[in-house]
Amino acid sequence: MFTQIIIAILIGTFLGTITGLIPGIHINLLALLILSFSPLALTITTPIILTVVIVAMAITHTFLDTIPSIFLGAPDPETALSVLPGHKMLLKGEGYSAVILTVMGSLSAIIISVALTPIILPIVEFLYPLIKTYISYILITASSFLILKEKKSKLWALMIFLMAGTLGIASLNIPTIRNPLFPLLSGLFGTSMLVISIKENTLIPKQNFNFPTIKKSKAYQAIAASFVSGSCCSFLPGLGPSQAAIIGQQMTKNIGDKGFLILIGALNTINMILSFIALYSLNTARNGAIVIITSILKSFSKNHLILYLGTALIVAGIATILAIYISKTFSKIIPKLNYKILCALIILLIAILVFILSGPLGFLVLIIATFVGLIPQIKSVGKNHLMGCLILPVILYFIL
Amino acid sequence: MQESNLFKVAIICSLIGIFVLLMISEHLEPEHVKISSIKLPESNGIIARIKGEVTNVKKMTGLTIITVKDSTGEIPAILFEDFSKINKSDFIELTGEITEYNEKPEMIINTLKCLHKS
Repeated sequence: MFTQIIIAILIGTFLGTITGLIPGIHINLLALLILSFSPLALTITTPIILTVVIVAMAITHTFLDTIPSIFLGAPDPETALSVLPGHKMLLKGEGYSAVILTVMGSLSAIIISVALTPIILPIVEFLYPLIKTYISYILITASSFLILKEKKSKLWALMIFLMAGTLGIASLNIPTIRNPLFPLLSGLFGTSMLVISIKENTLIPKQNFNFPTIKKSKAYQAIAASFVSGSCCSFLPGLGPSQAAIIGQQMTKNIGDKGFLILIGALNTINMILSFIALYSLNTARNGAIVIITSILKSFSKNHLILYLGTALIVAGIATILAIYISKTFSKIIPKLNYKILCALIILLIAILVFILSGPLGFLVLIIATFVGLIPQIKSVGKNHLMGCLILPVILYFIL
Repeated sequence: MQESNLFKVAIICSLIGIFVLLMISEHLEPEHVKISSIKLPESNGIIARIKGEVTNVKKMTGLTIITVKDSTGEIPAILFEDFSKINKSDFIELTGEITEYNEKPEMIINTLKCLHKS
């Protein structure tokens, strides 16, 4: 059993490295593939081992997905906000340092959240029924708060929120689009960002390998804020790490770009760990990876939770070391590459994947979503309002 | 903080994880029980693992009922598929949920492993 688990962890870490590094490929997609191969896999192994692969993959993904968002400017929705401060550092030659900050956030988040699990469990059980009753009001309040916080143009923020929301409602309700989230989120957060990178003729300077310096007090503040806002947002559908990051940033005094990167890294990981806890204590699936775990594993006990947390600890260690090496390699390679061609190739890759996985209508969604995703950049408004694509459908679902 | 420190924290983190897994890995499979200890109503709903000899296999459309006997007793186990790989007097290991049917316990099979063919 033990050796099987270790092998499963290594396979999961490998797969998570792939999904983490290729922008637009989300863990949900790979987890779905694992599910479709599960009848075959179950002839040589047990359901528990198979879910360990998914857990290892998901955790590795949360450690490494900031790398493409920083180096390529092509994020997943979870890391959309790390693009700005991360990319800024990349243009100053500090890409490596930016990645290390997010990894420091992720690693501390894993250690702290595993240690605090006995305390988090009862809090979750108490809070969740309350949150569930008022979910749509909380979402409306949170979204209005984020729109009113917008400095440049509140009107455009609202417009973007509603446009993304309408697109979300439309694409999630057309039954002929398979995996509608994939073209929707890739367009809003991935390809739109890549198009801008191409248009702005970005030149990447030679990168240095200086280890980041940050005041301890700022780092602690960032991690504390990520726990408070992360644990609230983790239980609200539609509110992901990106929204939690904005709320978390408001809670602290000025933590700066570096503190913000720690915050993003930590939130991403906390979200994943909390979704395991939610599965155990509330029996609800909070993200795609968990949905697939529940369909492989019929019942989920305390021992499974401990297994997943143990797996998370092992994977966190491996993924940290991987992130250090990969970001160093990227730092050496990226300035030498033709950045425009690289971005164009990634757009092409995403487009082909969308066509295969979601069909021609999905491709249409990708194109519309890309245009909507360009608006925040043109109007210099926060990209987080694009999350209206998930929040608005959820609000309507609970109100109507 | 230095890169080497981050490295150390990462490795310590992994080692703690391995230790946790070593402790837990033996407790992941459902507990092995003697068939006579499966009693209603207290066993209703538990996931259990049993080992024993097949004394009867009854096939119906979309359903197979395997009767398993160990040194202490007998229990019917239900598999919701047409299944023909198991024969009378094979030794098998089953895990599944104990449920009540006609006021008697039975097992809904999750996994089935053949230990010894007759």
